[in-house]
Amino acid sequence: MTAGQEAAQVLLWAGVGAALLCCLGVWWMRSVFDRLHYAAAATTLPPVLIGISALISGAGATSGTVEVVTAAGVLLLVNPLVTHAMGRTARQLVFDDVGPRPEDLADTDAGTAPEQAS
Amino acid sequence: MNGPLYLIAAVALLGGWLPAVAVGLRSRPVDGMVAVQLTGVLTTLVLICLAVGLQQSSFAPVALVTAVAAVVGGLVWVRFLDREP
Repeated sequence: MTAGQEAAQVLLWAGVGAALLCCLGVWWMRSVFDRLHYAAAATTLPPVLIGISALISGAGATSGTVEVVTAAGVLLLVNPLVTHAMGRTARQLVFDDVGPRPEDLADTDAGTAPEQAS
Repeated sequence: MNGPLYLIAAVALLGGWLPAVAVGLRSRPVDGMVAVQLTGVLTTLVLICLAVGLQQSSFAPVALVTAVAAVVGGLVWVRFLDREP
C-alpha cells in the first residue's frame, strides 16, 4: 500500500466520522438553531476530507474524478446559502421576526457597557 | 486498492440517515428541513463514495447533480416554509 492510499484511507474515515458526528448532533440537539449548526458543519469538513480522498484515489476516468471533486466543492461552497436561508426562516417561524429581540439588545448593551466605561 | 473501503464508507454514511429520519418524523417542520438538508449532503457523499469505490466515472455526474439539486431543493423549501398554507 502506497503512502497516497494510506492518506486517502485516513481522510476518508475522518470524513465519515465527522459526518456521522454531525448526524448525531442534529439528532441530539433540541433547538432548531443548534441543529442547524451541526447540519452546517456536515457541509464543511466531511466534503473536504472525502473530496481530497476521492481526488487521491480517483473515480475511474479523469472526468469522473473532476466531477466527484466538483460535487464536493458544490457542497462546500453553495450549502452556506441554504443554511443562511434556513436560519432566517427558522427565526421567522420561532420568534415571528428576523430582527433582534429586546432581550438580545439588552444583552448587547450590558456586554458593551464596561468597554465603553473604560 | 481502496475500492471496498469506499463501499463500506458509503454504507456507514447511509447509517447517518437514521438520526436524520428520526428528527424529520418526530420534530417540527423546520427541524425536519434541517434533517432534509443533512440527508442531501449525506446522499451526495454516499454517491461520491460509490463512484470512487466502484471506479465508475459514469456514476460521478449523479453525485454532482444530487449536490446541486439538494441546494436548489433546500432553497425552494425554506422559501415556502414560513408562508401560510
